[in-house]
Amino acid sequence: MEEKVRIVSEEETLFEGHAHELPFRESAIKQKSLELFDEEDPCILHRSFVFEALGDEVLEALDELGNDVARLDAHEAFAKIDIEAVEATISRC
Amino acid sequence: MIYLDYAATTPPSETVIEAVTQTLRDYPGNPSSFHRPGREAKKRYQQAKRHIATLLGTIPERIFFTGSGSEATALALKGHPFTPGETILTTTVEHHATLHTLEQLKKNGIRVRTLPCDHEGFLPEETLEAALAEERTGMLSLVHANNEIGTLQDLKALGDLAHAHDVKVHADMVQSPLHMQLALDEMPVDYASFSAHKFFGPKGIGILYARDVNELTPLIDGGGQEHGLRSGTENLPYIVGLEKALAEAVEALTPREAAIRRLAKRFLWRLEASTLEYNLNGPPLEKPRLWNILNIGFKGVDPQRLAYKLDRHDIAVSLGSACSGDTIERSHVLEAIKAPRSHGALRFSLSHHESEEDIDDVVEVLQRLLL
Repeated sequence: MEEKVRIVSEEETLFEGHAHELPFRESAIKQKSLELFDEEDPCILHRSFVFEALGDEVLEALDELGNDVARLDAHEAFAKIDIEAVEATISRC
Repeated sequence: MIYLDYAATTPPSETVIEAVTQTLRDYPGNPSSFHRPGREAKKRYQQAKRHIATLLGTIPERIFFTGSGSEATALALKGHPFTPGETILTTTVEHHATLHTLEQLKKNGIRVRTLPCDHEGFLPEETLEAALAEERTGMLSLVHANNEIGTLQDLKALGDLAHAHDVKVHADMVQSPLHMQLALDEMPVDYASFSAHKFFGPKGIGILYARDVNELTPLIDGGGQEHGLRSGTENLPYIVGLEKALAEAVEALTPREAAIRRLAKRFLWRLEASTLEYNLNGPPLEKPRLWNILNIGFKGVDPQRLAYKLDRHDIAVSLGSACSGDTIERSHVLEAIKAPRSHGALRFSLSHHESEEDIDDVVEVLQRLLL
């Protein structure tokens, strides 16, 4: 059931781990929490559920794009990841 | 959707919904009013209370409607007149409604002693006996049927023991009515808490059973409803909904329990036949327990993740953990029984509404997710 991703920029690995462990933007967390719970400031349990959902969105976006490696600006799901880097790419690992 | 969270709440049956809506429509009066609509509402209220009392094996004078099971527990514990220096005995596996109410009482100088349970969640008689000998005890408050692991305490033995020491007994019976015939006046309990939404009734209505109302001080004052114990205009539609749900629960007890037992056995049999590494938290099926609550730990699994994935597969279950500020804490009940920390626990709570195919599907999804 584990689904890991890697984010790389200029040959440097910026993130490697489970999709739900990605550093998501607070704005994205808030938006997803509103969507799921109608709650801007979710409790820690609901927050963990939000991270799972955002992680799934990233994995589904990778599937949708169909490439092994995708640019971090190639899908709106990736824009929710709080990583700013030049020419960054994301892939499953 | 395969809903396996009936210990959290049960959906009201169609007949309960009909009873509630019909009462909303047909009984607009305030039961305290003297005019005809008021009198009609009062009569319907009295009828419901008599019927509910009969179904629970008591008399109407001992039934008091509240807004929830938690409120009933608070009323019993905060309303009881403890004398200075008296101790309340409770256990490590209580619902938060009890534990948090007792925390409040502690701040007011009431002594509370929490007794350890065994690894299946049972309060051993000798543990209670020793505590009763050591403490000047005012009350024993314990959960009859545990909402997380299903343990069914020996209320007869424990209650009799407490009464032999002249100690009052409060039983949290919120999970009980759906699974057993109750005869409250024959049981060694002075107070008992109930909640309609645990037996296919509406949310927002509960019952406190109190053997002697004169002992209690109300939490809410006002118009003096519920014999002065709980002021506020009676919620007649929900009282009637509770009555309907309880009647159905009692009437269908035998076939419903038989169906649940079949499903519980099948669930564990299918898990046993799978490659999953799991354990059953709480008592085995042959011990006194509720059969509808199966708290299962899966080796090496993050329960939050698994619950999320099950939800994505339209399977609703409950976690064995809760929010505590900015951390997720494992359930105090699982901690109390020393359930293995290596196993992430989920609570699957069943009802007669599920089929054997549903159970098979759940185990198959678990297999797929945990491979």
